[in-house]
Amino acid sequence: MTAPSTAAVDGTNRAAVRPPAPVFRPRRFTLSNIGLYASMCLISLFFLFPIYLIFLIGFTPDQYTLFSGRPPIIPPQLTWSNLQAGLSASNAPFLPSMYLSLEVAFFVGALAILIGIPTAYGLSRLGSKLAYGLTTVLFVVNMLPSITIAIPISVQFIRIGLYGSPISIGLTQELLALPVTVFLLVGAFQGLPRDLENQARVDGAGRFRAIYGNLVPLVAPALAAAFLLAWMLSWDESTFALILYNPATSATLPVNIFLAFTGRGNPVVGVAFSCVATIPVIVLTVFLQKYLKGEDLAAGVRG
Amino acid sequence: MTVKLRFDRVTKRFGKGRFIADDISLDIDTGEFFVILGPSGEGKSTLLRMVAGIETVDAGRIFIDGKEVTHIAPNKRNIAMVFQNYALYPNMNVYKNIAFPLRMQYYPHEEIEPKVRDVAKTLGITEILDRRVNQISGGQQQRVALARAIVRNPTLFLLDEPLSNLDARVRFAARAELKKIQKDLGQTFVFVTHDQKEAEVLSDRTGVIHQGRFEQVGPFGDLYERPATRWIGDFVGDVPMNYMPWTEAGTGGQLGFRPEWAEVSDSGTESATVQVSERVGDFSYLLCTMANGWRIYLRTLRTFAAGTQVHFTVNRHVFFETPSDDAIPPPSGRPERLPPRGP
Repeated sequence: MTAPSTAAVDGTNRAAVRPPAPVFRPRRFTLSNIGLYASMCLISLFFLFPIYLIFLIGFTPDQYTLFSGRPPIIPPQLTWSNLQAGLSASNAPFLPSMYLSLEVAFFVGALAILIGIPTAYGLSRLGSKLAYGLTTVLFVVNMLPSITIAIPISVQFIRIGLYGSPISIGLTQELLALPVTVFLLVGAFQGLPRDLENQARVDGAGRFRAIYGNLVPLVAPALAAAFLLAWMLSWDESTFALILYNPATSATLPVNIFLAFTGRGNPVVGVAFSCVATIPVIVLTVFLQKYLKGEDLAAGVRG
Repeated sequence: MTVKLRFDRVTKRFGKGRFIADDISLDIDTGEFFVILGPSGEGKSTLLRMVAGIETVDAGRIFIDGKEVTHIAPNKRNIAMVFQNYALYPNMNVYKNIAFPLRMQYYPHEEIEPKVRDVAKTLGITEILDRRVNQISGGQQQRVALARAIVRNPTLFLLDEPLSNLDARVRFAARAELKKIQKDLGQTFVFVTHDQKEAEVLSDRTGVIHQGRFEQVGPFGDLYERPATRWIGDFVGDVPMNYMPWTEAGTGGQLGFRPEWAEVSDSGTESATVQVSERVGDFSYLLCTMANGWRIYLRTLRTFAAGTQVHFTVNRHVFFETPSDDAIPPPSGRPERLPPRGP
């Protein structure tokens, strides 16, 4: 018993007394691991396969897809011709409609934020029961079938001469986007400590300055998410856009894709443009990514 | 002495129910360190928030520097407030947090910088000016909140339990420092706390709030030595007051005394049985039962085992009348004698 202790004291034989260092082994592939990865792959496939099909039809010559009895899973040949057909035809609607869609989507997103901030702030300052009830009331439009709302609204827009204009489409789609935006922002505002606003007021800020200068920067991630949701909702929306479509001008991208499938155009071109329609969504999501995180704003208030 | 802050019959209720402030009238002098003391949930903070203007007043008026501010917006009152959780702006660094009140008053940039650096130097936070507020310690956050309050030289400081989020060691230092800052500034501080030690150390005067009213207002020593009511006697002090029944000349009530006002000795006139003995520092606190079943605390230098019979003499006491529980002056023939207070 004395040997190890003396060795430790004079420091010559420390290693002998110390327990062996733990050996790190790479994680082994167990059966349950394999099952986990396999099910992950399956679920991914389930969601990605329709997108793959759209890509396949859009960028493969149509003799292999639409006019073939047995469409292939692996494309035998890739082509830009479907896309080019949509761009080069004399009355090709796709570029103007893409422009219109972008215009409307940014209008809807911006307006949702502009109206959403004061609405959500106000609701967040009410009692949570009242705020919840009022937010639910906002969703009434989303509860009804779009078509029942779209027709009377169209009549009103015809009356004031705005029928088919980007503003008319945007304002109607706002009916769907705003409740979602408000719902998201109310939660964000409620998550902020009330004393942050009080502190700003005591420090000399007016109510407007306290809200827009001190609170709004803190809900930036929710604002980014709300903008993205409203934007995408408008980008995908087709019912309102179709009813409000004035053939004399232009239609939004989803409407034109719909028309391409329903006899007025080339379905393959419609599919090709469906693929193109995903690009702005991806670009916007990537661009807003850094605001969506916002973890550096999470802390700062104790208690 | 001019009056800095005046409550004039201020009343506030939660809905139609409990009174947070029940007809409160009080003057706080310029340069005074006034502590509002009370148990949790008695509306101390609400009272402070009414002064700040972030809570409405149901009835009555509040004056600051002789000017009525009852319905004036918080940003127009020229007061500073330190909240319990410090409420530092998470999207700004320490420098910008301190500079914020100056920016709200449209100070030019060249004037803001020296002021911020100056106050940061006073509070010893110069090195952390560039840090984010979530990267600094609790003690530093408290200093930043204080710096932000001091920087623009307000007319009145409101502090809502600013020390309660600090750990014991830091709190001890921060407490002493706060008192020094107040004396150096010569400004009026209204400080809310539930901690009597803070009230004792910091205050020029303490107001104890209970059921929406100031139960007693005065120097902390008075609250301890001459409680106005039984409730104060119980609330102020580390242990509640001891009571013994008392009748004299037709009136009846209770005789209250603090543990150190009684002397334990074998020649004592009263007797009690020790239940529990606790050693705190140099002293033993004895929880005893008297013959009539009343429980009292005694303080001695000696140690007693549980079950021992002890004798004691009450050297000093306060009379509380029944049923009002208000203190009445001691009758003649029973001289007041103050034993030396312990640490």
